[in-house]
Amino acid sequence: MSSRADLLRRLAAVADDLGAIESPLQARRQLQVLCRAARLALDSASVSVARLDGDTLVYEAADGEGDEAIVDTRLPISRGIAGYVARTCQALIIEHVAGDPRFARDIAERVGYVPDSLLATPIVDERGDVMGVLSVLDRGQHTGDTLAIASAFADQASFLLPHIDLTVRLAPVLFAALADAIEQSDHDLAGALRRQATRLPDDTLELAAVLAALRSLNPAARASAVRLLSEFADFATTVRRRR
Amino acid sequence: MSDIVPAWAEPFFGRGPGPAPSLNLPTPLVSEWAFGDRTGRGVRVGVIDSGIESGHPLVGDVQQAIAVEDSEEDEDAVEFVEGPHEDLYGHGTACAGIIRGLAPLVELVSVRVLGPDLKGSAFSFAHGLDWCIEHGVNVVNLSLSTANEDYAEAFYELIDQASYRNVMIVSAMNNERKRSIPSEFSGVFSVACCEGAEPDRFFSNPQAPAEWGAIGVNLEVAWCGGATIVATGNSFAAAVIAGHLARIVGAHPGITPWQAKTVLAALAVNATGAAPATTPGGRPARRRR
Repeated sequence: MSSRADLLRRLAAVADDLGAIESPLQARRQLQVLCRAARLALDSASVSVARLDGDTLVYEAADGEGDEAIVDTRLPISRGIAGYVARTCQALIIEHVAGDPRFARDIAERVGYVPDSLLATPIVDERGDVMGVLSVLDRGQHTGDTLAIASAFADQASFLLPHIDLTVRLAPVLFAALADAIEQSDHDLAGALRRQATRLPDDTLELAAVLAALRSLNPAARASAVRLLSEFADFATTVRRRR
Repeated sequence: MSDIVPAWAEPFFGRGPGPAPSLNLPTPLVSEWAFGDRTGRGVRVGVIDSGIESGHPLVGDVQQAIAVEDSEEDEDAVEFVEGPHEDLYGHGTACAGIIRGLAPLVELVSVRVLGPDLKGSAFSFAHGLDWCIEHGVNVVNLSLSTANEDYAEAFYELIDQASYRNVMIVSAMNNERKRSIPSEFSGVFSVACCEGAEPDRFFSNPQAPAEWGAIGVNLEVAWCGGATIVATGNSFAAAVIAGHLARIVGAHPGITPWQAKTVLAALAVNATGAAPATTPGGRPARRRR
């Protein structure tokens, strides 16, 4: 590892090969399209997909009523109807959700939309373990078996969720490994990487999205973007040092 | 007497194994005989679920509550914590309310396998079933199942143990076409839902694995906080069959699971030559849409 520039080039190459920077965003976009398709198929007010992250459901994508508010919401699975579905791998269909005071309160507080009906179905992997929950709010008139349709969309989501899960886990490992690799030659950079590995900020994916968008520009525009970002980074670093 | 007795053959040598299980089934087999006083008096019914809310208007008192929780000392073990607990989700209370509605004098045993600790549900669920078999529970309502085949063998053994000890295991089929362990096993009373509002109108299905059909669509069921909600699912149909079994066991203590299946099948609405119920069933489930 001869220099910091060389290391960063290699990091960029690895990230590019793995698709680790872009894939979660693509997966989220695909999940959002899936939610829209499910919402249209079931004539429902809203469809969302939540990923099971340990003991928490993380809403990765949604389409319809309250979609912007619910995305990125984290709900513990120890409570609530979606939590029950995640814990038991059993779909649940409730017609008058407001009858469950806890549900009505939780959702109203987070999303500002209390549905009349809720269908929640588990998203499972090939082993039968739950990896998430697909929720359908206020399904309307449509042809076909509601549960079978929702289940088919949940099966499709099961192919997308691992991409997000993998990337969320991969990033800290990658940063930590790089830190170990350069410990001898560049102590400062190793320390920075290690800090990153232990506490990835919530906006990592958004930052990756911006970088991916910049990379798709033409060479001249890309050069301008890099210059601009570099100047901003220098400025931000200077301000931080003064503090 | 021969000097050679192959293993397991001992009961059939000498004076034999004693009287065969017998019910002296009446002809025709009518619900008055099968269900007796329809109370399930003295029958211990275990609800393996999210807990039961004791004192809920549709449930009444819970006689025993056991929570299956992670062991702090051994990650491959669980602890059984006895004492009142809440229903974390509402689902167990819903099932218990249906059972109490059909058999008001059963002893309700809440076996909470979905606690605040987040160990794999199937793991706790298997331990909860084991606890029921070992603690004199007569009818177990399992409105849970797992699709994880790693647990198939454990549940296979547990269902056999239950069968040998005359413990009736009622198990809801998964609401989706997925592996549904142990409800697919022939040793349980596997249940899926049908439409309707009368719990006494249930089906016996000659085509496995969903052996029984009972009401479970848009039922008003008990839920957390003394509330009721309207829900659909095979879970609730399983509770209906568990309630009927509690009535049968109450009227015929010591009845075996296969005898109970024979009785239940004779009362099914699609039974050949079924005798119509001449007295009303339990509290009719309210059906809304």
